Amino acid sequence: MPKISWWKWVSILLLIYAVVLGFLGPIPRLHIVNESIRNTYFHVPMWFGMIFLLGASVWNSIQYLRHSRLEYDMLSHAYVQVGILFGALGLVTGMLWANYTWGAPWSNDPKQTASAIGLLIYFGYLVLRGSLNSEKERAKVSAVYSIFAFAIFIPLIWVLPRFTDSLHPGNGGNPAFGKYDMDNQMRMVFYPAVIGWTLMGFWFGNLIVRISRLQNKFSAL
Amino acid sequence: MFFNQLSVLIRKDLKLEFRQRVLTASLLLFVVSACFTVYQISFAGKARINPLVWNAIFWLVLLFSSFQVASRGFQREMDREYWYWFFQVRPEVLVLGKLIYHFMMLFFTALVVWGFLGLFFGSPVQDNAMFLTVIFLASLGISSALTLVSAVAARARRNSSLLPVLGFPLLIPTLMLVVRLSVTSLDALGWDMAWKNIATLCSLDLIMVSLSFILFPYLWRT
Repeated sequence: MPKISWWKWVSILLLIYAVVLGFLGPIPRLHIVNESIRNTYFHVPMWFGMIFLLGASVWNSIQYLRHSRLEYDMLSHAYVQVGILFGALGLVTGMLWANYTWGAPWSNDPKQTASAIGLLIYFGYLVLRGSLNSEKERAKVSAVYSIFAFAIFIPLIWVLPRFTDSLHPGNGGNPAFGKYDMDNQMRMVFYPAVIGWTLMGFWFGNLIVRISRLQNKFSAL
Repeated sequence: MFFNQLSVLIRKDLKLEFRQRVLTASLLLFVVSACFTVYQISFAGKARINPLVWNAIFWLVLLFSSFQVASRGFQREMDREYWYWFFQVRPEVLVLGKLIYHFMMLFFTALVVWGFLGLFFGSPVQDNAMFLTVIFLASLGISSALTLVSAVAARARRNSSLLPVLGFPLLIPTLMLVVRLSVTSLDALGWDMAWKNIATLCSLDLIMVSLSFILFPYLWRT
């Protein structure tokens, strides 16, 4: 059996814990939200995971520009791919939830808008990579684009929602999971879920990098 | 040294623009025909154009014109004349010069769009000073984002098709702020209502300008 590093075990255990308690654990009874509050354990960690993964990707882009080693570009690309997956899952789980609690899957909530723009930006990143042929050129140009895009995306996600009222819990007087509704029992599941999903995301990225390393090795033969 | 080179570069771009009048003429033609088309497809202004719709039309026409402005971008510098510029100027100067040139062109274009939409639909702008400020800051933001993106697209050698794909999502944040601000100026709600968004727009502009300044040298060296 191949050796699995400790943080992957942590991810597996935390996720088992979070999924079991996420579906079966006690939750506060809230008007309208009811049982759907359990989505907190799955929807919100997707966003945290996406931000961490995209952050890691940008970090690697910066490292690539500083040291021009293709390893960094590979990492950056892999984290973007997983980040997009997490972002899409976050969007879909959010829309499913919103359909029952807000009455429509898409209500142009600032956070929805921001995340849709983020996905557009990073799909653009993939298109850009596809249209560059030389490896070094692709690494350099896409690193520049991803740093620029990230620097526009982050203020967008944190700042723009403050200008218009969000339907999201915790904004504009909506029932919130945040400050006053998420009791300590929920926190005991929520934070492990965030850590577990984030580690799982990095595991995915790790696998993508290992696959592309193998492909490079084969094409070199 | 830095500012000397900068002013020479900007003057060179403007002079080229002036000599090859076909470039400016094509931009003007684009703007005019866009405004005229909008006028025609809204039943010669009979469709009800309230200030919000006017606002949307204005920024849409300006957005598409901005791609027209930036599409020439670095074609000249990154292709035939690359080695000349490579040895002549520092990349920081080059990108700043191009940015300022794009900004001037876009600001000018915005004024033309304002004029022509005013001609066809009338201008609902009540607070002209604030609207001018908004146009100024918006041109700065849009041109700085598109300057870097056009350099990226020029590197990929697929300028015309990549520029909108990469540019649109990057411009949405700026535009979301800008349309809110310009509605404030259409209704003359006063600077008290606007200063918070103006501050945010300024900081977004600052981020984009400084990042193009920092990142462009990496694109420039081969």
